[in-house]
Amino acid sequence: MIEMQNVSKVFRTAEVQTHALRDLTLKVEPGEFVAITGHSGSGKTTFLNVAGLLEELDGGRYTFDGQDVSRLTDNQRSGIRNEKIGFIFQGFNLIPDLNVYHNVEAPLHYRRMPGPERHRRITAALDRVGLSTRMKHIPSQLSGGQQQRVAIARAICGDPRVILADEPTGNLDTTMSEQIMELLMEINAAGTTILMVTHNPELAQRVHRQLHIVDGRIDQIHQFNPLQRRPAATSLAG
Amino acid sequence: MEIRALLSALWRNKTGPLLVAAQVALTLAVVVNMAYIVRQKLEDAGKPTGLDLENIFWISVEANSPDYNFAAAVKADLAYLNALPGVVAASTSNNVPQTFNSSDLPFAADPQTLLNPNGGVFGVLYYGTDRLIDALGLKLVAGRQFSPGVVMPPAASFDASIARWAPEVIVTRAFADKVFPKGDALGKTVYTGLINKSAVIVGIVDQMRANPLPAQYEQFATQIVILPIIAPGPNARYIVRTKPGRRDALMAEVDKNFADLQPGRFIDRLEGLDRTAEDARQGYRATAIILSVATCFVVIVTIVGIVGLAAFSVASRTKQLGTRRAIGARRYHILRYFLVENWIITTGGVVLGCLLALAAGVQLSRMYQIPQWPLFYLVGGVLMLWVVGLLAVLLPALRAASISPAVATRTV
Amino acid sequence: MFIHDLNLAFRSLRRNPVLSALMIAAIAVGIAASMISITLYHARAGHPIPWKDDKLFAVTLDIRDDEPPRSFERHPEYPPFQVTYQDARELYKSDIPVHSVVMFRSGQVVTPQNKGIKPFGVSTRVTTADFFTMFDVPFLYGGGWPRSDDDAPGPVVVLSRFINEKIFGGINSVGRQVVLDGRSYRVVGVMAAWMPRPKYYDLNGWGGWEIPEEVFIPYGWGRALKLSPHGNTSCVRRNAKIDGNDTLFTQECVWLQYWIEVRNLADRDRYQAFVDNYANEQRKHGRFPRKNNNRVVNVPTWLAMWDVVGDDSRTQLALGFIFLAVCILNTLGLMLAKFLTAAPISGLRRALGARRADIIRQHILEVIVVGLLGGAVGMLLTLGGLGCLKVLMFSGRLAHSNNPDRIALIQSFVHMDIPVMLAAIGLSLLAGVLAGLYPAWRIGRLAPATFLKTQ
Repeated sequence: MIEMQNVSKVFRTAEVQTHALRDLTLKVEPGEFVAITGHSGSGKTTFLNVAGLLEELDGGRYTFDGQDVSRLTDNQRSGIRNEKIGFIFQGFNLIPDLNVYHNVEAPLHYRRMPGPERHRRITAALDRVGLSTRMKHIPSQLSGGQQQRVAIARAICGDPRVILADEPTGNLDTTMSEQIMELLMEINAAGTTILMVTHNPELAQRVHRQLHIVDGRIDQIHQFNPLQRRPAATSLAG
Repeated sequence: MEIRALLSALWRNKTGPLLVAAQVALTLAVVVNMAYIVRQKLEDAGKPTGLDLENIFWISVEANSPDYNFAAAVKADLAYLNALPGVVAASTSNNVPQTFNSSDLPFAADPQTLLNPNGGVFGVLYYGTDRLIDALGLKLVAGRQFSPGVVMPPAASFDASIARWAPEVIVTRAFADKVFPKGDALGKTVYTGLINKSAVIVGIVDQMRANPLPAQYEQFATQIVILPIIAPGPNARYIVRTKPGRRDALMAEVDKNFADLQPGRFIDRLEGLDRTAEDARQGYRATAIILSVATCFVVIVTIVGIVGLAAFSVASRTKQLGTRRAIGARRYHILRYFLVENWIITTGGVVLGCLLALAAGVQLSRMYQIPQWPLFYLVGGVLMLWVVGLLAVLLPALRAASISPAVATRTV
Repeated sequence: MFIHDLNLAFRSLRRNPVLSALMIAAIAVGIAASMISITLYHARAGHPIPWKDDKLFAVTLDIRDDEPPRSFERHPEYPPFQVTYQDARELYKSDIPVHSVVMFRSGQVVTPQNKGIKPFGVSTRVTTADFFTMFDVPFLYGGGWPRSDDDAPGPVVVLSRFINEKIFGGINSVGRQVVLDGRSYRVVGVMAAWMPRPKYYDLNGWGGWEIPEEVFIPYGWGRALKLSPHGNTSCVRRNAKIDGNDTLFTQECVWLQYWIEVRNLADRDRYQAFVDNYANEQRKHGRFPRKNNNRVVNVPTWLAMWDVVGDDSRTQLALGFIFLAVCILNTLGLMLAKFLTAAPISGLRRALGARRADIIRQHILEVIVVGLLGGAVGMLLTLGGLGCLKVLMFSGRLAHSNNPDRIALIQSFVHMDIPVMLAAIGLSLLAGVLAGLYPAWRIGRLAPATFLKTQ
């Protein structure tokens, strides 16, 4: 699904040059649930940005879902993000002025999809995360766990190939973290590849593999629960 | 396009947009009405006078001696002026056009009409010698000029002058068409109320505008009757028309020599008629400029308001915009979102503004006694505000569209 | 505490110079626009003699034919503003008023004795004796003339201050002779500087925006010398006949101004009854064809009837205030944006112990500072604007003027006097407060914890 070879990313200012990623090589199989760990400043966020096509890479090669995405235009990258990637952020990143329904709907507007189908997908996604009764609420009326579940619904309603999660439980208490983790594992079990950046070693051990990033490159790889090949994943599209 | 989401987000954060919409509404009301008023003023000031303003100057002479021989003086003065090289024609006149001094009487094609309520047509009186038409630079379109013999010498008083009247008159086309709607004024007799006299129309001039008056007083500007009468003294006004380019030199010469031609008098005023006409219009032009400048500033302030709201909107939604990009929005989606959002706010203001503009328009047209502005003023105003709003928000919107999707993952 | 808040306010403004400049500029421009229009309006809306509101009245008679109004007549319900010669003579016989005046304006030529000064034209007011007491005319030397001089007519003259300076160099010229139109008059009084704004007693000409006449002579000279009136003359009846024989003195033509001064309003009503009775009597002789519409009006009503203020002043005043409103809304928006953007700092202060009232007070102070700064800049803009307007509106008239009184009159149009300046200060404070009240309240209302997240 995700294959990076010698990927590098450099941040240049007038005085300094920072190699956020250097010579990073990895491979993620479809259906894997991979945890990315590392200290602050190790390059985790940059890795996620590059993996999620939020930023361009400076060197190396990146193949996503069989397509070479190393040197794409902004519009092309946006298109791939819209249709194949779902994001979950530490701060939930919900749009505060929109209700739950519209928040989940947001990415579907950026592709051509007729209204009835949008509605079907949104209701299905909210159902999946257990928030069908809160469609008209706005984020400030929800708890942290509920907000993150809305974010997950937003991420999955477009039926992505990969979900990239950046510390999804970072702002949640243990109970809510547990709920979110369960949800993510269910989604992964249904066939969606998940890359999750996390600080929490316990969570990191519940997944298939853990990649440890140090100074911009992969340092260690731990196999915890190797992935068993499974038949074609069910998707939300139905 | 996610219109419903956009509208509900807008409603939840309505203070800023409402403020901008209110500014837009007031601005539209101001722009539409002031444009109309300014147009009226410039129109009132800009109507052609029919006079050869640049080549005419006038002299106002006052007597300061009881022995002043006015009749002889006038004769000598006219001879002197008309003989000056470079002078096309010189004449006396009771009033100088463009000075807001005028007198008028009611006229009609038959005496019976003058006895009816509101019967009769007003005619503004100018009287001078047989050279007055040429001195003013008027164009004769029918009939002839006065013959020299018909000019009535000065009477004892203004009233006596009027009461004696004259056998012939020359009128403007505007007057002729009013009194003789069938267009057959030439050669006809026209009767005058208050003095109960009559005269034959021997000539018709194309057009003359005596003074820059507002539209409802149009008749007092254009319906003019010219009489071959030398106004009574002891003070006199002369109108002198020169060949092109000769006026300044001749004015200097007259200023030096004219008063001394006769003892017992002095020159009260000597001025080019174009200058007089300019001064007469100064009020209109000043008001037009004041209102225009103020309106421009109002628009500028509103533009600042739109830009301010847009810039704030972008700055405070940076994280949100990054997230939208992250979940797949292209740059033009973001641009379009801002343009549409801004257009909705502007249009809200425009709708309210139309009501305000209409209300103000009714008030103004009642006050100035002019008709209500035609619809294209409102349409033009709306279009202008849409364009202005669009241009104002363009830069902030482009800035918003350039926000990187990586903003979404930043934790600060 | 106050100094501390002031310090905070200035620091906050300095932190975002572009935004602060925009806010101050918006208020300044709004203040300037409204102040300029208020100044212009105030100059035209003046009431020159308020202490005689209940005593001084203009008299008008409706002698018009009973005909429908003409299309261009703005107020056909008003009677003519002037009276006929015969009506003036009859009205003058009433003993109800304490003072009465009949008058008109004309023009004459002065031939100074001093050969060095060339003869020049002056505006002459031909008036009965009570003019000077009725209109509170101040005198430098001497005074007016007795009523007997009106009838004789006595060869006496009152000079304006400027004319006295021009002819006699400003000395006490009472008793000296002045030659007007070749006839000699004895100076009985010299007026002090007098500039009623508007020239309410005779609004002919520039609608009241003219200096008072330069010389004053007794009323009887009007007929004796057949002086022609320099004002509006209107023969209002269809049966009037201009035949060259003293038309103005025999026909139904209005050309004279008529004013009375009474002791109190009760006397005014008595006079009204007198006028209406006179009209009723005249109706029997075929005059006064309409129903009684004779109006005895005080100065403010008179000025309103003549519409001295004018449509343009009103339009400009409205525009000025709308402009200010747009500017206040603008600043409100900018202020709100600024406060909301700076909210984290307020949140921090609240966490450190500031009360809600403190936060609101600090923000209101910042707003007032913006208002006052905007007002100060606005005043400068106003003065500049008024200067430009003086050139724009009056350059023509100024150029013709050699009379310092007329120049002073024109200056007064664009002059900001004390009440107007105080209004400016008040307006700028008000503008600041209006613009800032809501944003300050919004900020104060927010819970401090909202801003302390690391988000």
